[in-house]
Amino acid sequence: MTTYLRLEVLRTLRSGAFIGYAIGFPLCFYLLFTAVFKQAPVRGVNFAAYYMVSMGLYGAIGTGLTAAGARIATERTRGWTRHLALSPLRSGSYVAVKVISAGLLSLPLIALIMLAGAFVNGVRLPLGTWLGLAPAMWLGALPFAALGIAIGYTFRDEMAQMAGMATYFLLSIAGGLWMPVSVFPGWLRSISKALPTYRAGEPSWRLLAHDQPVGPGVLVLAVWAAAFICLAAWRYRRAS
Amino acid sequence: MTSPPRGRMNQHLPHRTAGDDHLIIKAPEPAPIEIRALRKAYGAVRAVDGVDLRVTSGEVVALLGPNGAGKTTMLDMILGLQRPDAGEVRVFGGTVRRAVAGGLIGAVLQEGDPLQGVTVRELISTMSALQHKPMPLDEVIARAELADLLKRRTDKLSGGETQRLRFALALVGDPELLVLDEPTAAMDVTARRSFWLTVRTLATAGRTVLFSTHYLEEADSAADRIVLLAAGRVVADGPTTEIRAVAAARMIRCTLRGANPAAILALPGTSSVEVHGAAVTIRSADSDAALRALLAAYPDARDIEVAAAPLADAVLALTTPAQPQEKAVLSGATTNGAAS
Repeated sequence: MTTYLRLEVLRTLRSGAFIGYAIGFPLCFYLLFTAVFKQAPVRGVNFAAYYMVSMGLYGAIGTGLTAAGARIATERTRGWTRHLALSPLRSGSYVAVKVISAGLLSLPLIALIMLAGAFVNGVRLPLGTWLGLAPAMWLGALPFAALGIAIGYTFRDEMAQMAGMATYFLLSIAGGLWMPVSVFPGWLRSISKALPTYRAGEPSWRLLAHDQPVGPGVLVLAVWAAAFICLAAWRYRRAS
Repeated sequence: MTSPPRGRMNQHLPHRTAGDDHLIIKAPEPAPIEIRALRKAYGAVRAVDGVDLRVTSGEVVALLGPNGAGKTTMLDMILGLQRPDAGEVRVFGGTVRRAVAGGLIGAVLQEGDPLQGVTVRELISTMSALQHKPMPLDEVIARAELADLLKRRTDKLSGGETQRLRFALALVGDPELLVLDEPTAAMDVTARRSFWLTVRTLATAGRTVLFSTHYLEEADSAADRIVLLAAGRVVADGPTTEIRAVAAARMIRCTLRGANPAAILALPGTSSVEVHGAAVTIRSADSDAALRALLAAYPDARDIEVAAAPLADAVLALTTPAQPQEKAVLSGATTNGAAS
């Protein structure tokens, strides 16, 4: 299984679409919105630091949705999963490979965004905060891999990509990853606070504000995560 | 991992017995494939309609039939890729899943692209690493003739090359049973010939092979046994030679001037007649009787030749609904005669 996992990571890294969408896009967005347009601090947090979390999370969520979701759909549609069904790799392990590779592939993106924050935008944070941010973003993005799996086992090939993209953009924009929720009108802000994307970023943003990372908002994320996992399990069972 | 013991069939082959001696068991060997009353329908279409089949160790069996006969559906059910509506499939006496987990089955599928974005070597070695008892990689590469393509990306392969890669993926587990669904599709004649040579070699080493094909010559030359499928049922099952004999399986050719097709057809034993000028071709289920009658009626018939009819005719005869007592007269350049 580790050999298969290695191949999965390797071939994803080779894919131009992945490098562009999941790494290039968030990185450019980050630099564009911080270096080019100067923004006001968000609730006392320097915007360059605040937006570092937004884009790090945005990229990591994209990795989960595409690496796990769209790829499963493609491999199911093109029939590669039929080949796998005739190998000793169990379908549960196949799903595990997708989740683990999504987790691994989001690490370089998170690292790159943080490096851009520190060296391009001059974000200065206590060492403990830096060390806390990486796992906080990484864990926040993880539930979206389950959503990706649900999409991958529901739609075929191109439909899955479209469904994944639509969900991704909608949740990212409405959840305040593209623009901080502080600039949203009140009604939209209350929607944002119910969304998993906002709640996934919350622990990291709290860290930046020198708060305890875990607040009551984590419960909202946990409920979403449980729902995504149930959805994924249901779709997976229906498909196999 | 409990898997059925391997290597028993291959005791006579020194290179496969090394280290396997402790696996020799005296109990009767479970058949590689045992199918009972298998059924599968898609809506009103009965794709597989009550098939019983037993394939024993070391057999090379061709599953032959026209398009839509149910070949792929049947192979998919044997491989556990589709669930039967009714009936039972046993592979080496157990479930397909167990045989797959033990690396006992290798399959070339008709549908299903190999994984994209990787090289041939990467894919083969990764799939090999999943196996408990893989075939040495060099051997896989040599048998599938992929040595020149190892660095090629899987999405850059031609149809025939993809087919060889599929074959390699079927071999990585060093399987006892190979299930091949139209394995030579998209291969050219040379590739096809060397492919079947490899399959025969693998079979000689004690492996069992079940393949589907619509190349009749392939079934004829590669298989020991032919199972003929039509409309989801087995219409004939036996040694290749026997299957030919089931239908009006002999052809009598002769030169005869001024032959009257209707009169020839009236002779005992003839099932169809074709006349092209002086060239007469008679299809017959009983060529002895037909030939005697022909010579008695037309003593001047020359250049007489009696040969086994091509397999295509046998298939046509068996899969076309029988029309008893009806004989077809074909004269001029008309097509196949319908055998009764």
